[in-house]
Amino acid sequence: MNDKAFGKRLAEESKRWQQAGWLSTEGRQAILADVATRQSRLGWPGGLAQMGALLLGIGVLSWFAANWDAISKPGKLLVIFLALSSSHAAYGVSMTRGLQKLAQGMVVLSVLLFGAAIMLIGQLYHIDAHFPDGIALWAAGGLLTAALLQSQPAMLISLGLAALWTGYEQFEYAQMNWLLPGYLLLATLAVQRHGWALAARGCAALLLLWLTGWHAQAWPLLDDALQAHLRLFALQLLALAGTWAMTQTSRQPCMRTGGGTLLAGVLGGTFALTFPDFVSASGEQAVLDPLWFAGLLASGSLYALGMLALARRQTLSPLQRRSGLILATSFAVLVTCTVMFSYSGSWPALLWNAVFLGMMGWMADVGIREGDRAIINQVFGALLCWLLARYVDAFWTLMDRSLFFMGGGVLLLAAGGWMERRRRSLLARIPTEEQP
Amino acid sequence: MSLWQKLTLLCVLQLLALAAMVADKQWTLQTGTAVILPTLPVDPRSLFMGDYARLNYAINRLALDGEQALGGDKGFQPHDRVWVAIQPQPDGAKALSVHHQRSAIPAGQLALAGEVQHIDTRQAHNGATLRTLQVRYGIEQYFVPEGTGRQIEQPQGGEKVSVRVAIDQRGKAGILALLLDGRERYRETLF
Repeated sequence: MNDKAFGKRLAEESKRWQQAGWLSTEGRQAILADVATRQSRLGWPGGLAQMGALLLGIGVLSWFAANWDAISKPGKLLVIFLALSSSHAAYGVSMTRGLQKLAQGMVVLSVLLFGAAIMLIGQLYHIDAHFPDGIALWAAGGLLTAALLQSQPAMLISLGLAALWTGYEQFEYAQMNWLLPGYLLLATLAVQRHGWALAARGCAALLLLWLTGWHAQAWPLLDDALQAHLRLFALQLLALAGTWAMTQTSRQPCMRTGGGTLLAGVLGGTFALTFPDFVSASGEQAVLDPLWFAGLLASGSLYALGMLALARRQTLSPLQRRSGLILATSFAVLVTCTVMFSYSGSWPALLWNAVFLGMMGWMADVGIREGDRAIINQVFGALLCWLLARYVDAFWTLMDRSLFFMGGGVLLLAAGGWMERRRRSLLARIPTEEQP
Repeated sequence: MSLWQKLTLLCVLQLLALAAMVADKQWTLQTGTAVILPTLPVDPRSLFMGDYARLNYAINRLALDGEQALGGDKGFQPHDRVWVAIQPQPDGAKALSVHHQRSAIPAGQLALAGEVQHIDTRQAHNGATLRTLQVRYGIEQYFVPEGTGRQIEQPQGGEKVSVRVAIDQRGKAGILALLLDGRERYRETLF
């Protein structure tokens, strides 16, 4: 967390601690004043020094680039070795002198130089291999750097490279990237150990990308592609919901933050299932394949375990507990129906719409309980998207175009006004800094 | 572990990874069987890496149908891994058959691993469909000193460009040397 964000968070949290009686007014002011005085500010001398270092680096790089052909092969290898080792040495010197930000800059430089080294070695020895393998090696180097030097920026670069790697493998080459779960496991261990919230979100986003990539493959075991992909999608959604629930029981705040990205994936997936055209891909054939049953059993077990763990940890009123149980069961039953049975018509989409609205209601309640304005705003953003989607679904096919625009315009104006009033009224129930 | 120990470990591991890349390539060059492949080089420029010759070989295009059809399997998809049986000959190696599995290649023939890039389809005069696989083996580019790529792309005075390639037991190929009219122009060395 940077200094500014830390100061802002501390001001918010200490206000709550003061209200709870854990902190005196004087103590809070003293803490905030101390933090404010120790926050680093970029001065002119420091800025000039950084600019000088940047210019020197550009000059050295452009000199080597201009004379690259004139350098012998051992000379080129030496340049690569020196570039890599001096970035590590610069990190070490920066750390021992307490220059944290410069040290982080050196870590980023080291990860970038490792990528450059891979490309240059490839060029020097005419290595023309499977392109994503080079990115994978680069991502692995970034992960190692992040874990050893405890650097979140290096981890973020590594995650970005891993996304590029899996994107190429699964979408461009249409091959499953079975190595990515191993990478993700190692990355998650490092993220959990160091409590990196942003990198936790990155890990979750990478998992979502990998799961999406399953649908870019032609699975030999699945004979009917469209039906099979819908069923696979439903299974993934169930497993993802279970994983999200498990992250919410973690004691590490960064894991709960990463779980938020998984929840966004679950909500996005559920929203996709609210479209009648999407859900009707389920088709007419009954499914009694043991393979699907096994998949459902595995995903269902993960979901049940996650939800049970979450239910044990939450302190809820009887009404909230009942509502949560109904919502979680409805979701699981709908997924089961999508996977195991065939159906046609628009009623499955209606049920998915009901579940989606239920989820939104639950999230709004969580937002009020936890005093989180961002959740309330996100819920209303999602509701607006849902309203627009249903408006287009329902009226485009039923009415003349001019009536569609007129009727729809009136409806959206009314619904938008009502939603905005509701949003403000819910936000007013959350205490602010000025209104405890 | 102290800070400097960690940095040393990181540096050593990164250098080992880079050395492994070189070692893998050298293994192919040192242990592989040498064959000659005539080329049709084009487009000698990489935006990021300087000059290189993009090399086309006859074995990059494998006919599945018609009079020129190779033996072996017929059903392929883009990005499939394929095994091509190679027959070394003095005027350039020839592809004999193409397979999904290496085990399908008869003993005594060289096995070269490749990846299907795309499948060209066209109609013959008699209406039959003729399919041709475009296959990549990892020997399709060769980096050369800046400004010399054009010489390989457009050889003067009817010069013929060919490549001496090593194919190892894993089916991997590496370029040993670039030849102009049978004489070595560039030779691959470790240092």
